[in-house]
Amino acid sequence: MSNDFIIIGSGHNGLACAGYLAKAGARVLVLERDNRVGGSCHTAEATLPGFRHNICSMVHTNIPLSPVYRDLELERNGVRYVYPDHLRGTIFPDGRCLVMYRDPAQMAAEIARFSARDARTFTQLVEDYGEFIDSTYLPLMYSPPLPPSLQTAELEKSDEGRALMQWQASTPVQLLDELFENEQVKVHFLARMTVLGFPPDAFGQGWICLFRILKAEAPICVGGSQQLAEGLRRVVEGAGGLVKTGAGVKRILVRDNRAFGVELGDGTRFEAAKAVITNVEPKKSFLQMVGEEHLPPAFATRVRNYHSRGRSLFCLHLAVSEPPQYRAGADNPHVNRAFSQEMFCGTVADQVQAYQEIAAGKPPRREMLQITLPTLFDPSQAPPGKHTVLVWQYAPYALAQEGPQGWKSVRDEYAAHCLELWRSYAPNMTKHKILAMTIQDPTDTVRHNDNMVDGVDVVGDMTPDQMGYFRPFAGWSSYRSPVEGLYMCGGYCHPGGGVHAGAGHNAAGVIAEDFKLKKWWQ
Amino acid sequence: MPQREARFTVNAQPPELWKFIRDMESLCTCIPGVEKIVLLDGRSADLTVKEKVGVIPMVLTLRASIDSEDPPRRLHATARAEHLTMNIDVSLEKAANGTELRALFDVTGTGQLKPIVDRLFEKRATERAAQFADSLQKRFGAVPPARAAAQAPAGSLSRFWRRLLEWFTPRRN
Repeated sequence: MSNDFIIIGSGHNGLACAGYLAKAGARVLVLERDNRVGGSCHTAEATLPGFRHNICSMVHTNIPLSPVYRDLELERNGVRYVYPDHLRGTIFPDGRCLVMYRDPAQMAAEIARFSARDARTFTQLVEDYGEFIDSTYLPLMYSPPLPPSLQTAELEKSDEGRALMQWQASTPVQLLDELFENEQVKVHFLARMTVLGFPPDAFGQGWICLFRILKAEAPICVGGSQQLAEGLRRVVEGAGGLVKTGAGVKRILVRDNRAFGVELGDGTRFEAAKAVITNVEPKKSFLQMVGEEHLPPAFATRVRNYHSRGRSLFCLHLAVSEPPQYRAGADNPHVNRAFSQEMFCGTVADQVQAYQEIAAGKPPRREMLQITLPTLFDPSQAPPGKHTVLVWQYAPYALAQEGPQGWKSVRDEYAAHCLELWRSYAPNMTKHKILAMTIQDPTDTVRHNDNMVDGVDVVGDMTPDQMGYFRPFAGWSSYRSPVEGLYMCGGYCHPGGGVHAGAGHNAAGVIAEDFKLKKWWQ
Repeated sequence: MPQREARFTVNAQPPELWKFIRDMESLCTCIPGVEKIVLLDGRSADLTVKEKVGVIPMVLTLRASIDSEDPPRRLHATARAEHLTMNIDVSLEKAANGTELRALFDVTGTGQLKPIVDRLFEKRATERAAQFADSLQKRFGAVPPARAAAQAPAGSLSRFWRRLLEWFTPRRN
């Protein structure tokens, strides 16, 4: 069978793109190197039988509200979500906690326990910017990025818009200092950035910080993150597409500056009548699979300079016999039923310093911990009465002296240290409550999915120079590439990493336009 | 292309209502958010419309023109801004105690802001439609609700006017 489109990589963006194109009537072939689909939507029995752990992606914040979920009828294809009682709980070393609620009034009341003024500020922010963010963020995610000039044209017409532009230019810490007075409130909101890998002291991210203050959700995929990928696969195959696993692409075939197919590691070739679409991170896609000889030099330079220097994750997958009970539950019992518990130091300065240590290649000794128990809300992921725990400690990929290989010698001690840090907040998590543990250091994350270059779980840094109109490269944020018939659809494209399928959706739209396919979803 | 229909009744005879909607300056007094109108000729005008999304004002400059008309019954108009085009069909029909106004709108976001324009229309429709209807009813006198309800099936108002008019009216902040 001949193919119109070949998609390299069955991560959720590749499958989403394939689903749209297959349902548009195109002949689609998805090639996956691994023996399973899903990329970082990966659920596996990493500790004991029956304990299903999410190896990378844990929460699919935007999927249930996305056009992808609706257009591809993912619920009908077996992809369901459950919602935790509460969103997040930031726990402070003094035993207090700040729980993040969906309801703005409840959230303001929670903030008021720390500062009445900050509660009023939060309420005012919701009133002033809530609708703006709500009206713009999903459309901006699920459409190609806007040129900066277009984004600023409206804002610069008013005082309020100009203030927003200045906030955007500031650092998260600067913005929080401007908005709030209470240190713990600031730590809580700064953590909203930290969990996404945004450095707290980086300029040009104030707006994102505002967005993170006002917008949150935590849907958990029933059965584990892998189920999203399985549902997407059913969409592709249901529309006549073909998904081949165990088929690693070695080369993208290019002739006369046109991609016409791919070659697998075993020499098998597949041709694409219309286009090849790569979901593989840009350095492998362009420098290895295409080859620099087929690229304009300026573009090749851009690819080489694409960076992944941000924080990585040191993960512990635990099988436990009971859920943690946090000391902070005495302050607010809802913290025990939040999607995650986050322990990111007691002050903004400490959090910034921890981030700077990470940037210097030093695994922080203080807590930079995020804990999630999906089984509190989806019991199907563990045997009855038991739970899985994912412990994330924010950490560098490469250690200062030894580089990435240094993790081999420190990982056991560091895992024990992280558990001790956690126990200081959740004392019931004694050794005999932990039935089994698997360590996943940053180098393991790359082994699981080498799109996570240098352990950066958002497929390249989400910094102002690699976001929006500049992702992955200035001039090439339209999902097209300088090679005709070669498109990009991965998390290295706008709107970036994370499981939301925005890049796959947007790429499909551009490709449908270029090849005059019916955009049936509009 | 979002297509919306609105239908409501006001306490005025068709010629009187026609005269009102045919006069762009008077009509704009009932369209929420219109800050400025510059008449170009008898059939077209430039409108400056301000819509606040939270505290962020968005300013639209629309060129509205009447393409065809059949007084006092039908009118087709087009309004174009940088990021949207609206086609508007209005018809007036004598009702038991007043005039029923029906309008069909095709709203097309255009260019790179299309997704945002569409989203904003979606979010603001109900509130703005109610404001527009309220303005007209204040001007011409309200038709008793029971009769209006009988003439305007539930939800019929919501479709078009809501979508269009929400866009044009600032929120009270």
